Amino acid sequence: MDNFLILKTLDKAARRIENTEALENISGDILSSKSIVLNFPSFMDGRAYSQARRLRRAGYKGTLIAAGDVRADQARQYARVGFSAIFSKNNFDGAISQNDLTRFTDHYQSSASDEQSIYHKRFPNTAAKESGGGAF
Amino acid sequence: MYQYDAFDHEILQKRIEEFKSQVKRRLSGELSEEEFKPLRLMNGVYLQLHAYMLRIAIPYGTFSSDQMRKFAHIARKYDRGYGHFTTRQNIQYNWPRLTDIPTILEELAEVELHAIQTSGNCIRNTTADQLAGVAKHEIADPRGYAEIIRQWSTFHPEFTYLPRKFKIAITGDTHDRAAIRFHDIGLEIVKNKSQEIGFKVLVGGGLGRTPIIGTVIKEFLPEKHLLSYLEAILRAYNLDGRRDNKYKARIKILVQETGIETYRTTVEQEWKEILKEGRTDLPLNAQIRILEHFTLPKYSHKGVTSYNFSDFYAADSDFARWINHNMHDHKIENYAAVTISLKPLKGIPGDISAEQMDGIASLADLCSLGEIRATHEQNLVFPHVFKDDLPALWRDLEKIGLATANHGLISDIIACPGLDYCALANARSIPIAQEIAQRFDDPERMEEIGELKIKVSGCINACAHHHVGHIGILGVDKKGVEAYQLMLGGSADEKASIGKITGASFDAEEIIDAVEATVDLYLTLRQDNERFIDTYNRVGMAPFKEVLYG
Repeated sequence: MDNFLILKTLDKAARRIENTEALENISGDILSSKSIVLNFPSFMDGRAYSQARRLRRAGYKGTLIAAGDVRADQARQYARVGFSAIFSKNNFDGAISQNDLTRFTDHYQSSASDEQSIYHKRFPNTAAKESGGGAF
Repeated sequence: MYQYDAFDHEILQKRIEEFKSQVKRRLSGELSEEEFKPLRLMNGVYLQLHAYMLRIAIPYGTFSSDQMRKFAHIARKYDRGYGHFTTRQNIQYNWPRLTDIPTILEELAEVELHAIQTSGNCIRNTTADQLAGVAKHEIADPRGYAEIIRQWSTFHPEFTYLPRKFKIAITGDTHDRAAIRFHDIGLEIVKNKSQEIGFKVLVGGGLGRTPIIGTVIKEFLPEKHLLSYLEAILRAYNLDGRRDNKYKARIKILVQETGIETYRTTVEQEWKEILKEGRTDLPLNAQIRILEHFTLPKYSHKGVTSYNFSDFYAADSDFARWINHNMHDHKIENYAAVTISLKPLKGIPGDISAEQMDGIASLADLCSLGEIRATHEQNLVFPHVFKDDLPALWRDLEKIGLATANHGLISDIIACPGLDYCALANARSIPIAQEIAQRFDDPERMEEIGELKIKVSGCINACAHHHVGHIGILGVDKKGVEAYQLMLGGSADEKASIGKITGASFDAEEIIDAVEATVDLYLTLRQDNERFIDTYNRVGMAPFKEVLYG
């Protein structure tokens, strides 16, 4: 999570994907985008978490940006499903989101940025690939 | 019982630190109530009619005497001397101060308890059969799997802002005491032809405004794929569930609108992808480590013949009545599980005082191996009682007002907080439950009536599950006046059914008479030992309508 970015401006070339798209099939065109913006129309609308998950699973390597009604206290979740940046025009409290990102050292699920779940740590000899508990 | 390891403790501590800082920001005005609301809801803090309410999770309804003592302490120190057991096997406090809540959470963490995900649009506490692990005909103890789900769903980053709340229930017995057909996901432990353990998975059941019986999405899910399949169901729901209307946002509506076949195809397709990654399901060693916490305890009187029990049973008719209604068969010979009713006459269903909690804790240490269960019917259970200890237990329970012999009877009523506490309610529920109990307050009459489940909700959100009461009562607002609809024929067990409304609503006095008229008619119509629900299913609504409105 060291490279997680808080953006004040958005690259106009970034590709926007609406959160009504389930992304069951992801085209090569999407995968080769340099940056993709996923939208949270309201922070309560969590569809983009699953979209991010699917994009990373499909092998997307570019910058994945959470935009819309994003909140500092949610930074950890954005990062753990595969977002690499948040974009907010609001006065975003960077200290709080940084705190949120680093607060937990261990998780019951493995993630894109944290390969080792608690299950893996409970059994150090288990291969990372079999760490279990939900993968990202 | 499950025991936390260093990882579990660490996570809990970090969460408390986080919440403490959020409360601080709220109190300093840095966070508005609007911004704070989703943060507090993730930790079970509601704003009720009069005050904040704190809901504490009791994972799958199993807890220890030490945890009960902590509940008593919290009731005494931070609340008004009592707590309230809910229909989701949790406990609520209705009067905590926001400033005290971080300290309460610290105190709870000392005994491995928390309020994580007891509200909000996330995966809630997984509920289970209250006789899990000891029920005589159980296939396997469901609690280990519920603990696996608890860990996996705790702070699941993807499933914290679902379209709506998400409730999972699990049973290991074919006789369903956990109402799995009325949950977003219901899991029934089954064995296949090769005697391997797996789950029958139901999806899209629920109550509330649109009661629906869950549909089987998978007949046999191998044990090892539990989490990957749950993840597939949740992901499909998170992406496709409706978000345009709060009342159509539960998974049941998605399943109804899409159709189970289409929904199943979506889930199976996603599941295949998850399996390809091979990283969601627990490795066998991790699964075994969790399940091992739920092996049968050491029963020191195993194989010891019981003497006092039958003598006392024959000699004391009050004790016999309590045994007849509140005792349950146990896997181990000469052991029993007993229901401790939280429905005494004039009481509030599910309420318990701090003194009673302490009493229960001591008695659990003496004669239930320190273990207690909370039931979705708002009672408690001692799961491991040697039969010869029952007479003394009964006497001690009597001393603290908890020996009510009414489990499953007409006065064992589920009621929501209703208009007395809840901002959503249209009508009061608790006084209606109390009036009914009062009306039938004759042990012999209750016994004559037999099993009859009454459930009273104060609004259509159905927190008291009125749709699945043999007799259900729903409080409605009739031009500013509290009124009550009567429903008959609901059932939450394996023969799931949704009750039907009898007709026009009644006022608060009439509804008690209507219940009595319904019960009296049943007594004249019943054949042999039919329960109310059996008679209703045989004769249908017509004769009841006739007596109520004719």
